[in-house]
Amino acid sequence: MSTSSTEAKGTARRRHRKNAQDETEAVVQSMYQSREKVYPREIKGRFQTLRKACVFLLLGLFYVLPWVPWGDRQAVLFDLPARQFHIFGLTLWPQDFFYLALLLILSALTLFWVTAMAGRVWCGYACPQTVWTEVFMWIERWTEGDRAKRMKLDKGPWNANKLVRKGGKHTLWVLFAAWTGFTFVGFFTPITELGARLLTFDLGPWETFWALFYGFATWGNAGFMRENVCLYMCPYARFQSAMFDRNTLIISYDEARGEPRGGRRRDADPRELGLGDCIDCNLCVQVCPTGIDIRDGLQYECIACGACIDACDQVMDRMNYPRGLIRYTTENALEGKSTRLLRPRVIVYGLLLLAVASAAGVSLALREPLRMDIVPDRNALYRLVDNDSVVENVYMLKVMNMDSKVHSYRVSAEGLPTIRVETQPPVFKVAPGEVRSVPARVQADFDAVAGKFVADIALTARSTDDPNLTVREDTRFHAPTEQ
Amino acid sequence: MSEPIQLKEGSPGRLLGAVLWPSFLVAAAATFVFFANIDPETLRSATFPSWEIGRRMGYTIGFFMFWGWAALSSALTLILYRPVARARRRHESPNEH
Repeated sequence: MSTSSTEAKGTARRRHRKNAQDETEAVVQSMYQSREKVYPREIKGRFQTLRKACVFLLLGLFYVLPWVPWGDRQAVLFDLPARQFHIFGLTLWPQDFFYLALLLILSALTLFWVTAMAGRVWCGYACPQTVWTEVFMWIERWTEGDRAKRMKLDKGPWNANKLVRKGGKHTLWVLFAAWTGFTFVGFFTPITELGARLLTFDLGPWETFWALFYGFATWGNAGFMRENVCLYMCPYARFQSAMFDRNTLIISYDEARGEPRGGRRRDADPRELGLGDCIDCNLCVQVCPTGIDIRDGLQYECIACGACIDACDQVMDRMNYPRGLIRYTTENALEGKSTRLLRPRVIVYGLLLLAVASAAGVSLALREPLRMDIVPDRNALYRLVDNDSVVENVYMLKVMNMDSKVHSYRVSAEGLPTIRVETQPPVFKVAPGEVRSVPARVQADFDAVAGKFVADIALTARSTDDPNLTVREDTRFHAPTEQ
Repeated sequence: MSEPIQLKEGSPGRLLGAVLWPSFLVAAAATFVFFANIDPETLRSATFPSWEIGRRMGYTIGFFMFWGWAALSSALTLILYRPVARARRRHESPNEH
């Protein structure tokens, strides 16, 4: 820090004493400010309200969804032992892996698209790491107090107050983390049942392990690791810059307007003092959850949470300067050029996204919750029945009902004159999720098929209770080569 | 309250992290893709039909197997990459002064 800015800080300190109390704190605290341990300061403002709304929405979904019933089961249940995923009315089987892959591609493309336009909004508003960290920080603030009190508490000796405050924080953290772990397992095991068994200490070994594992990860990541996860462990933080260009929304300090920074009286004219609009109050640094100084320029540590914008806007309001010394902007805008929203990479990501999304939507809408595999009898290619007047092929049909209710099916055949099929039994029921093996005898008149050797035929299974539910599979029919 | 990570470059803790963390991510993805396509029950009946391995056990074995191999690959990368990086630094340092 240069001498002039230290002096400026002195001026600022005198001025702040007259001003709002929290600002006074800000300056006094700046000498404790440590780059090693981040004590993010609480700030209120537009972007923090938005973040709070995101926390409630996302965590609300997480904690509430497993409790939502849907028919006789819970609405969202990933039943791994049974290998089926229930998502509201939809049941997905391992055969539907395709949709899961599509979903992942969709998520990735959306992330790229949004990042190219709006920068790291994912990090700031939606990433579980940031969202859970927020909650853990609320608990911390509630038990240990604001930034100044937390620092004092950490520096102070272990007395009753510190014990109660720290103990309270850690108890709440552990309880919240345990609840999180329990909820996580509730996505994989029916949660009401799980809760009942938890109360009687009757959890299975895997349920216990995963509840503890997820709870421990939440506690460690949101309580202790925090910004270090973003800085050292997150792969997205490292490659997100590849999606950036000069038109991407970033959080930036307007250097041209702010510099030279320095403290001043509120009624002083900065132009006379030869100063820019930055009063060097350091609030933007104190509120930063990753402990960076946004005035040093765009840094990969920045998770785009907007806390520094809210902090700076407050100060600008108090100084009667226009807002936006730190703001969402683009590199082009900062240089006085115009910002283009539609540019090749945004259009390409957008088109790809649209294509994959519509493909996924269409195929999901047309998805038949019915599958049939045809296994020909290997013992005999064909046999002659009814005094050699009829050729018969035997198949084993494996019919899988991927719907959530029982269906009955009847099978028909086509592809040859006089072809007919007889299953055992003629109409068969298949339970949801069941794969039923049904023997099928396909027959055709000898005169119609003799000499063909092999013919392509198709078998169609049609539900007797829902005529729209059909599946058609091709197979081969063998016949004698000579008349 | 978040503590800064104070691990020196090349310290055992940091090396361990650099090996175990990326392999954990890869193992999670690999387990997901593998078991979405292959039922551990089928795998068991095709390989060790006499063993009693449930699906959950199958998933777990699969995950730790993937993690192990991925960790081995990460460790190899570290070993093969490090000397080169160090040599380059030594080579470049005179120019920087």
